[in-house]
Amino acid sequence: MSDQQILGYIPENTPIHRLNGASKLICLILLSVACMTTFDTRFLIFMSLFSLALFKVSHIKWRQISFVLKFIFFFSLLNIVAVYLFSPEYGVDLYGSRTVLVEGIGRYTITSEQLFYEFNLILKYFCTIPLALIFLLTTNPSEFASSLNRIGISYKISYAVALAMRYIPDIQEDFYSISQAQQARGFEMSKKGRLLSRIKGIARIILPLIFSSLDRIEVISTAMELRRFGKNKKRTWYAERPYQKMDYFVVIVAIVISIISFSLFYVNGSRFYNPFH
Amino acid sequence: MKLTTKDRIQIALCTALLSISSLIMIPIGPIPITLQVLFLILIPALLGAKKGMLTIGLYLVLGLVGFPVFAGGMGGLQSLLKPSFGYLIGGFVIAAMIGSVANKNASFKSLVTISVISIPVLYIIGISYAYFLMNIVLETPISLSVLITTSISVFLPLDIIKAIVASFLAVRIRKAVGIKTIVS
Repeated sequence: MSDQQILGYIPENTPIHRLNGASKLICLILLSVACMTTFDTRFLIFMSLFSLALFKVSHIKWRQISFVLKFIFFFSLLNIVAVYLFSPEYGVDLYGSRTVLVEGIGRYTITSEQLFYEFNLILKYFCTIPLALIFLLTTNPSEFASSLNRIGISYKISYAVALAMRYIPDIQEDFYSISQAQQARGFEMSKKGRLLSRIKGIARIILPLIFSSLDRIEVISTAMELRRFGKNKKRTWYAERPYQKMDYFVVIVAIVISIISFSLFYVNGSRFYNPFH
Repeated sequence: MKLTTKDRIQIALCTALLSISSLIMIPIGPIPITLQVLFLILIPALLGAKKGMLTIGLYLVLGLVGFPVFAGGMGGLQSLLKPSFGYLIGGFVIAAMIGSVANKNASFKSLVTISVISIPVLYIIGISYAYFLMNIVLETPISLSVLITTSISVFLPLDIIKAIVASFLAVRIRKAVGIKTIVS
């Protein structure tokens, strides 16, 4: 099982791993908002490269994320195509000019403006998805819970958040194990199987998955109570990480980037950078 | 009532289950179907209204702060700008509907009734959100009839099936595990 693609925290000693969980969360939210609100292509390109550079610094391996990235790629592609199908000339409206490359059928033309607009959408994915994956893979759930507790959230609640983070990879692994076991018993799950066969196969995975999760709930809650979890109003944290200069530095950088993003609204006169004028 | 440690563990692990369900995909031709809707119905049927809503609320929070737990491994604040996000808000609402019935009466008939009724509620919220988002926030004009036709023709039959399957699973699981240990 050790070679399975498990999406979860893996300990490393990189500058990003050493950051406080709350700092990383603040940066993630600020940078996500910055990338979400603007359509300035130059800013989005910069942020895409910045995100990919952070990926490099965090030592995340392709094997850790390839499974999820396939899903992300597929659904992103679906969104890009859907935008075109619903509004094939939205880019023309936005940028105020029309440069037809292919006339197409009916209203489904291909214009430079539409291609440019959808290019911006793709860049948005390249900005925000790496940031989210970096946060998930470099943050110790226990340390994250202690960070949430420090900013005022009850430790019982922050611990539940950490548990949810902690058990996503475990349940994912359960899913794979059960799937392999059922296929070993002869149930067809691959793309070659007929639709009905695959639906039956899924049903044979879901029930064991739910039962194993319910069993896990019993084991975990009993073990926690035996260790006197929740008996006091406060608790100490083994995994607590103090704020350092680097934490303040990265938060300031995130704030500056957000300010730049909002400032570009005024520089461009809108959310959009318009090269067609 | 106050949440016990076990209640919190249930919420946390069901949040993780809901996250995994968004990654389990059955392709039907070009249309990918996830089990997210099935679990949005199954979880309140097992945990009841309060814990069901807290589970889905926690799932929404994790997704919005960036964890790739929404359908297709998506996440982040930009999920608010997706037409499909309304269905997740709808999931929060139907958790109250299904959970309140599950608290009182766990028969298959009552669960399947409330589950099937919850599907149009889910669609009303989902389509309303999509319409508001596309026409007002994103300034991409799409007519209401196009949204309704697209959503209903493609996804509604499958979601009805999921509702029935979820009710069936909920009854079997509650019987096997013992009702009192889950809904309490």
